[in-house]
Amino acid sequence: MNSSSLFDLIGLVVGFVLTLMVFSYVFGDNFLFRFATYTFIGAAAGYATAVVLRTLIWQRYLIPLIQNPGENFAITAPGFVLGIWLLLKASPRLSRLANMPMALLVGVAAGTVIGGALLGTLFPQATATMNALNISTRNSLQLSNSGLDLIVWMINGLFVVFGSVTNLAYFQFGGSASCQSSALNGIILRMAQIGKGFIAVALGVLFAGVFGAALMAFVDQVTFSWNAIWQLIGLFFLDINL
Amino acid sequence: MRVAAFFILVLVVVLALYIGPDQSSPVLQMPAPAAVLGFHQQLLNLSSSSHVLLALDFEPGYSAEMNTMLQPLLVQLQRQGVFVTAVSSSISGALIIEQAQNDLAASTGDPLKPWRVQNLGYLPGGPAGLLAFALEPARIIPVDVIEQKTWADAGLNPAAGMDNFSLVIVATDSTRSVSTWAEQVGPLRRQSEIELLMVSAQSAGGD
Repeated sequence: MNSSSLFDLIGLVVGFVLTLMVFSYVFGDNFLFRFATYTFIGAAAGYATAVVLRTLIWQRYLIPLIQNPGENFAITAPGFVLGIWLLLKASPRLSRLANMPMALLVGVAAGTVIGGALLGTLFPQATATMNALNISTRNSLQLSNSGLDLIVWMINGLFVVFGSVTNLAYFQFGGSASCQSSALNGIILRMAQIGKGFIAVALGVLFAGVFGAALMAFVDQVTFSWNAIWQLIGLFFLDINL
Repeated sequence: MRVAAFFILVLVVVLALYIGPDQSSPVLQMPAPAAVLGFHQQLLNLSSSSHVLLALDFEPGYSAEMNTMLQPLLVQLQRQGVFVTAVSSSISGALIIEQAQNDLAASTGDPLKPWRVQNLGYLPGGPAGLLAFALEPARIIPVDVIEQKTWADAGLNPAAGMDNFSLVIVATDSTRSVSTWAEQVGPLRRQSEIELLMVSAQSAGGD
């Protein structure tokens, strides 16, 4: 057995044993499960630290600074100083001093996310909803104009517009209890109820997606364990090389 | 109850593995959605001189779910000889990209057509990091993960930024990641000809 096959075998056995240890949770919280999860957390934290040290600290800050200090100092130094300043958060006594870099971090992140949400989500989605029943948009997509296709497209567009309006009614125009006698308020409250239904369906789809992902991961691990068992049987009892 | 459910699920999976796929059962013929057809057409429009930015934004635990959609896409890119620049906002990104390369090599078994890929690895900084990368990619990640191949080595023009790429493809299992790419990279399409495509565990399509 060469070294590559030996490492494959070790990887196979370790993976198989760790999978069984995680599956042991089905019998309740136990030492084997905790050992496996702590191992994963430790390995993940160690890997993350190594990646950050190598790709960020070394590649982005130190290498440019060593190679061309004159040109790169002004770009790398502020980030480096702010990063070290942020480490004061770890100390209960000095953590308040780190509020400035933290404020900068949160401010930049919030500005980026809000700007992106406006330009990348809100405006395009509003435009798409407005164009859901716009025949010229449909023509620009060069879709078939047969009768049935047109009806399906129209129903789809109506559904999108109706769903958007009722969702907005649920979030923004729920109506207040004090003016429930108003006819308009009654309509908005009914629309809000329908919007609640749309939201429930959307959350149900998200949950199904999460459940589907978990099930797929489970199937993958059972498949891995099944194949590992047969490979180990083949290796140790039938003398078949990996 | 929990133990019973576990063993039933294991039994179903093992039985499916033991019996294998039923070749005699009829294949359900359904027309592909317009978004999937559009996605496929975008891929067919690529040539061997095209460059694609591929973002693999998922954790290694979800690779089984994502690979179902991802592998046919990678096979198609490999067949067309497209040069792929891969990046990930997951800290395990470099490994995910390498694993995708290995899975591709194992599934095609075609050593004559190696996957032309530049593995940029982890893109830090969340939405702000992604925006910075979208504006000046070659400055944010100047070399690949093994510090050997620069953008120029890969046949890309560092000054051209995202205009180097004919397509940006994001493969993710997370709606948050999809919206982050759409929000940070999507608006740039007004200034250039970037096409942004998404691959989720469920389907594929344009944004």
